[in-house]
Amino acid sequence: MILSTTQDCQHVDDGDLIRLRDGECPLTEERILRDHLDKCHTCRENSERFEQLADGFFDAMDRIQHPAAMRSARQKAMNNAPIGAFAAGTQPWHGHRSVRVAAVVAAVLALTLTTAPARAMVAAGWRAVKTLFVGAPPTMAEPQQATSLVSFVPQGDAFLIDFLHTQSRGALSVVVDTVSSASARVMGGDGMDELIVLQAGLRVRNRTTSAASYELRLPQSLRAIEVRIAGRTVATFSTAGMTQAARWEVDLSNP
Amino acid sequence: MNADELFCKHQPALLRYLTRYTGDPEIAADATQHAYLKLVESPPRDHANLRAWLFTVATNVVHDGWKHDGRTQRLLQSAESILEPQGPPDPQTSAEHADQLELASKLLTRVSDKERTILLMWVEGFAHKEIADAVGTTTGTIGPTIARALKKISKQIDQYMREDV
Repeated sequence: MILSTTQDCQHVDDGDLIRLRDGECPLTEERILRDHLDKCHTCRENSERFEQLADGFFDAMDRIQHPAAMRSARQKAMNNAPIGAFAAGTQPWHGHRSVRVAAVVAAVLALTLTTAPARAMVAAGWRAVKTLFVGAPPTMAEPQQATSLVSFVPQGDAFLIDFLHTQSRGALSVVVDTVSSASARVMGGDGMDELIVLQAGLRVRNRTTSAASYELRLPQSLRAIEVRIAGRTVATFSTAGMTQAARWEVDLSNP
Repeated sequence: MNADELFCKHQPALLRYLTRYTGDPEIAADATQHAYLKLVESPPRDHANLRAWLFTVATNVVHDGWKHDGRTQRLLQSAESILEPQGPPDPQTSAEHADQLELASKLLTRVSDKERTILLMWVEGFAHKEIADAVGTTTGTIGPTIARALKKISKQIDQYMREDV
């Protein structure tokens, strides 16, 4: 951890902001950095700028796929979509207009490093800009366009589900029963959610505007499940002594 | 799990990473096949970090180029039958992809090869230590490198926007 000195104030190093964002800091260091961000407006603003810049870059990269993967994803979405979901004139989220959106959004984000009015505009208008170009994101009531299933291997008797960001809508269902297999299902609102399997748990790199639901089925050998959103623990479930199936719901929009 | 199954598990992410890295789907597919051959011929001792190992091998393939002797050609043809068939892209995919690759090349113009590797492995969800091991640096330098590269990209986009205006 480096707190660089500028005149009479120590500020958090840019690299440490990235480490903090990625959950790479040891707990003690994380506490020190978060305490500092709570108190220091300059560092908090810098942290938010990096967060937005990183999100813009991830969004742009999300849209760059190998042609075979793009074709496969489209076919999969078509197969999964209810009849009429891809009516004439309806573009999938990863359609090429959104590439221009990514460039525009990223360009707008670029201005955040230089001008205060632009920073304010971006803070207020991120969703508006995105919606303006690609249309409103699907709501929870709309049919899901794609699902994916990933397997993971929990370590030990505790499991962490770590959401990197808060999001505007969505719910997490955690199910533990006697027949559970270790798997997770993502029902993507806009196809940009990404599950990353870590040794210590499952990390979901969700977006703030995504409206996704997550269904997890966990082995009964677990003793505790922790749900963390943007670095804060929002729920802890104990499965110790459990004799029958249990299900927990977490409202992701209100952590 | 045998080598084919192990590789197929990681192939989509590897193709995606290499497409972003090189900006060329064909080079990405070739480098992916070379990584597969490397896995078959000289697999790592420990499969725990196989994903990082494959990304490192494939990145080195792109950097170093590769020689196609007769034996390699035969092996590559054999690999093609095992890996996911690519087939010709449909017209919509081609149009989308041209735009996307243009965006990739623009976004990543100003960063070095090492920064590009770090950024794109970061996007793939690798831990900082895994990225550091892959590029031969210390874990502590990954965060600052990502921050510096993001700033470069930000400036690059700013420049393109000014040029367009």
